[in-house]
Amino acid sequence: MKTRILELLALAAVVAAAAAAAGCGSTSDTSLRDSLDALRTPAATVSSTTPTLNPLAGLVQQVDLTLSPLCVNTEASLRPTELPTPGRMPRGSFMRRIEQRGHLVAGVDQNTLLYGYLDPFTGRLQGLEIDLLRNLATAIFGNPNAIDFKVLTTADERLQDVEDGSVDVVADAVTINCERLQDVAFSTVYYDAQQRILVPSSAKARGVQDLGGKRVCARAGTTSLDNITKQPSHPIPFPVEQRTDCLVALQEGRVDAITSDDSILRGFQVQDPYTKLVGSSLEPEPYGMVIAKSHPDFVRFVNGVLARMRADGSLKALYHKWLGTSAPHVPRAQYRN
Amino acid sequence: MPRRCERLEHADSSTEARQEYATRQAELLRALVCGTPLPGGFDASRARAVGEALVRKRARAVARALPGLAASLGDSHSSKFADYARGEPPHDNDALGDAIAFGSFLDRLRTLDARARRELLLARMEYATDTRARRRRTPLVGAMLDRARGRVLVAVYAPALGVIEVTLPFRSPFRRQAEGVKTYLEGGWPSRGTSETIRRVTSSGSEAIGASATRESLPTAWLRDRAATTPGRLRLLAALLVLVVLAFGVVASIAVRDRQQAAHSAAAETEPLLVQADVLSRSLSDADATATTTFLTGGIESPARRQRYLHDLRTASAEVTALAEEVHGSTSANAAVATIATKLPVYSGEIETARANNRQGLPVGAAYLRSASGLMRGTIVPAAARLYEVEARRLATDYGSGVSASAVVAVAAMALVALGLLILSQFYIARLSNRVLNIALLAASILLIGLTAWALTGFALEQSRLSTAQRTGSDSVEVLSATRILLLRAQSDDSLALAARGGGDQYTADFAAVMHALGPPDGSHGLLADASSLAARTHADASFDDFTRTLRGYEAVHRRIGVLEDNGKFPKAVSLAVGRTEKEAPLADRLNGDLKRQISAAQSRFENAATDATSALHGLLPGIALLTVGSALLVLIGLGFRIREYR
Amino acid sequence: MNAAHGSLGLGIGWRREIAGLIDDLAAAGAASPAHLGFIEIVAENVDPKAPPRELQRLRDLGLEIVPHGLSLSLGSAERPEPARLRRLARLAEELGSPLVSEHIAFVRAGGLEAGHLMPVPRTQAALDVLVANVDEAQSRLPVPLALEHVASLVEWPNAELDEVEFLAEVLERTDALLLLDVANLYANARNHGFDALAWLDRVPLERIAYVHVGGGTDRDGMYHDTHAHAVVGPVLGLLEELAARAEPPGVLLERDDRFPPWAELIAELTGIAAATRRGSDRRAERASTL
Repeated sequence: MKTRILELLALAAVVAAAAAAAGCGSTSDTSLRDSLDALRTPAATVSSTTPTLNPLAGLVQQVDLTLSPLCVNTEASLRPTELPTPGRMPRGSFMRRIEQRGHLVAGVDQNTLLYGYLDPFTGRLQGLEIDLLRNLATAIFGNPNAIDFKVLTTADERLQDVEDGSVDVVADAVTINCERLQDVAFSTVYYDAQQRILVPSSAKARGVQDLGGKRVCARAGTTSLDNITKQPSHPIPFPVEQRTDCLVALQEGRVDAITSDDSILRGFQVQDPYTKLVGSSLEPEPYGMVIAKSHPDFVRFVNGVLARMRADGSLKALYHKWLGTSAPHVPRAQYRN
Repeated sequence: MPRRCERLEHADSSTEARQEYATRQAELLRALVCGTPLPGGFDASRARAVGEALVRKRARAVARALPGLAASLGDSHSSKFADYARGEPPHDNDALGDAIAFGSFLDRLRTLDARARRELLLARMEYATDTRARRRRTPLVGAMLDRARGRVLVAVYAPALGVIEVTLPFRSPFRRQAEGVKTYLEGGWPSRGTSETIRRVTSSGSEAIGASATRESLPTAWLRDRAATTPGRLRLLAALLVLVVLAFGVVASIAVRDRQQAAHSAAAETEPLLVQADVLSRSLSDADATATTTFLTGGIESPARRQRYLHDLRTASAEVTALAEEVHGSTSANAAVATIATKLPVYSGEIETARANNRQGLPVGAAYLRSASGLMRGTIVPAAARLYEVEARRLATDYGSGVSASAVVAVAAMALVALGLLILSQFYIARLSNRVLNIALLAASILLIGLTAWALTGFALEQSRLSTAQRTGSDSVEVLSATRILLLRAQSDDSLALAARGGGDQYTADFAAVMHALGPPDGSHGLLADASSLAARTHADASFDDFTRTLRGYEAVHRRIGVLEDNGKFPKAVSLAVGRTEKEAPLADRLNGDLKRQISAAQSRFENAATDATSALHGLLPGIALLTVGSALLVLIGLGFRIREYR
Repeated sequence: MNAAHGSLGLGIGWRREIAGLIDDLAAAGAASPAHLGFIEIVAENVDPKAPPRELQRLRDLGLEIVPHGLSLSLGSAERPEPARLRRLARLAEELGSPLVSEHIAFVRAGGLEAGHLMPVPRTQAALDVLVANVDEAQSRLPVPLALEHVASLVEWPNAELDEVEFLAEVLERTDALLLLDVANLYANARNHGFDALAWLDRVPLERIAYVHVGGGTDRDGMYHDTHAHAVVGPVLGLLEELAARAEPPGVLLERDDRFPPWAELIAELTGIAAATRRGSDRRAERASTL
């Protein structure tokens, strides 16, 4: 009997051991879940960076702005006053505030060859518009380096940053037009660009009329994109966020043509000799510097600097410096009182 | 079919004269055929003679219809037919139907030999006897078992062809063994005959129980016969015990094998694949971070950075190829591998174009870098992350199987059943014989107990080691790898924001999001919190504290760079980040190096624990086989002694 | 010889076991040791829709085929079943038979089959029933019907007529033909103790369509007409006596079982022919002396 009882005890021990074995040693999923969740953190986006077609494009057309007094002559800006001495800006003026700050804040592009681009070797911004702005800084501070450049990425930023005051002035191939004049002020025209088409040198197209059904790249939010959308030959618009993305797209074969200001397109041609400009001008694109509407004194000041540059030939010299023989004529200034 | 004697109808006729006549005829016939009393006026002996003559005539007709049947019955044909005829009135001119009925009658009594049965089968197949025997018009298949000669006859009847017979032998190789077992259970040993007399000597007297094997008894009757005698019961008990012990062995083997496979899979397959997927993700993220940083430093990148970038690309390509071969199960994994394999060359092409343009000072290079980085961050790295996820989930599944309670429960339950039965049988035997101890059965019980203990201990060890492998090893690998990948992404964000010169708001936002996922430096929540508690588990607190300090330093430098950026002082910012006065880049490198060390420490902890886990069950499978077979043999021996006492 | 029915000649009951012998004998025709003129088939064993080919061949060889029914049960209290009558009629048409034959007996009663030909009571009442049944049968048959008397070991009590009287009455009232079975006569005469020759004298010999001869055996003191043994001498003697009184249109040997070698059967046939001839000779002799 004793052995029987021993056997029963052993049986009970087996059961207990089993229970213990089942209990100890468990696994959990928390680390797995946490690490996978962290890895799935979505890429942050800022709403204004998504390239879209200008949502106002259609809307604005319905409102007949040609009756607005601003649009009678879009290129007419405020008449300049006497330029003050550098370092001695009039009290209460916007220039005084800039002076007190210590440097001018200007919005530019860093990707547009010849006009505003970052030189990879020196790490410094250069270009026609950069030099223009340095002239402006000199006019305020007497020092061309008293300037802080803020790089603008999207076309809308060019107007918004001026409106909200994060920059003082923008010189970024901004075309003066009626819609924009509702929101901001422009200086006199400092460059007359034309909208043209750039195609690969092997392409057979000879103008926008041959691009029906073909993809044509333009920067989102620009007049170039609006114009190509309106073309009767119905090309397919291909918007991108930044200008040079169009050249990448053309080189990778994702688009068949680029449309932009001939100034910009010339910069592309320098970077890619296997391209050619085709067709005549689609539309004149007069460039003006963007200034907040609330600072008319600054507008007059900038126009004054431009007038002096036109008079002493430094503007033309700038053209030659950056554009060589293919420079267009220096545009005349037009004023309204 | 003729009317049976018990169910005769009342003779019925149209007129009264006929009616009376009919009744008298019916009475006479019934007397002659069914043996009812003879109506008055008839000579009894003559009537008997007529009756006998009728039967003889019928028998002759039947013998002519199925001669094989008649031949096999030989002289007993007439007496057997007389027996049959007593219960079966004559058929209406249907000798064949009568013969088939006679044959079926004999077949039910199992007195026909194979030849007669064959003839009967063929006749029944060819003729339908529901009314007068006539040839069937539809095909039919029939079979007959000839046990004596070990063959089965299959017959097919087709209306046009008649009956086609096929004889198939069925002597099976296991028949002799099966017969031997059957003989044993019936009370003999295989070498002896099948019919013996068994005597049981009990205190109350002796009984002689004859047990001879009948040729075809039903299974329940057979069981009843066995269970009626004590040796029969003991034999059944022995069979049952052996079965249960062997079943226990099978269940235990399956449970052990499952656990072993899970542990092995985790150690040798899924976790290494996880590490490979992590290496892939890390290489890709590092390549992106390196490429974007390189752009910041200007046209000529440092050779060290270039080599690092190329090394990352090579590693990534190699890992993708290796993973492509090993992860062919899941469709999402296959899709991810395909994405990476196709897009990685596009990425590296764009980076090279960016480099080439950069060297010429052309700003389109920056556009290419933007495009490449977008491709990497938006498509390639997420695909690698998906691959990583697949492997991580497989590892979790392996862990689940490796510690699942079902194996333990199954083994314990079967052990309980087997041991319980063994112990109960020992009680029963003790009651039966007057001996308390049956050594063999005791030994069998001990073997089983030992085996169960071994198995359960093995399970417990394996479970705990596997759990350790996870808690101190793979968990850390997972969390730290995720941390590393996120940090690389943050570094890339940093460079891209700097390169955008104030225009890269989304990169700044992404950096903030990544830092948020990592969690605040105090470790209250986020991935770093997990990492620190894991570090506490493995007593790696000190090195983890180092890491957090470096991270805080990195964040501080980042904030300084941010301030410079906001103020437009980009050259200074770039210089602080990666340039001459660089502070951020070295800190980033130190972070990466730290994480790399911790990850490989965790990895080796995992490997040690996981291999220990697989070895915990080492030797159990052959052990189970040996011990259960040994146990079964002991049961047979132990019970055999008892059974032999009854001879 | 009744010229109205034609002469059938020597015959044998057709059985599968001796189909070959019959075919040989028929093929040999007059050159055969036993010249067959007709055969008799068991009506229930031949399907009128598909008679065996052998029968057609025998017909082609000039033999007549007479269907012999066993299960019409004219002696039953019930009327003969129309289906059976139709079958018999169809058979006769199919085989081009000159007549059909059946029995004065019953084979079923009260739903039970006897498997054997049972005698009918020899009473007026039974006679009326029998006559009505035979009339009905004849009305449905396209050819003449011959009735055979049966041998039986038992007899109904309270018989009003004796066998030959009963037989003559039936034949008279129905105008049917007679199938005279000398073996049955011998058996009944032996077993019930009457004079077979007196029977022959009283039976309407002019109604004979043909004659049956068959073998039998003694058993327990009684004679059994088995059709499975050789024809016994006295039966042949009775045949001779019959032939001495009237010319039988046909004489048929019945053999159902335990078939002997063919030579024996042929010998039996020749024996029958010889006995018939002896009788005929005696008749001729008597006629010439008168």
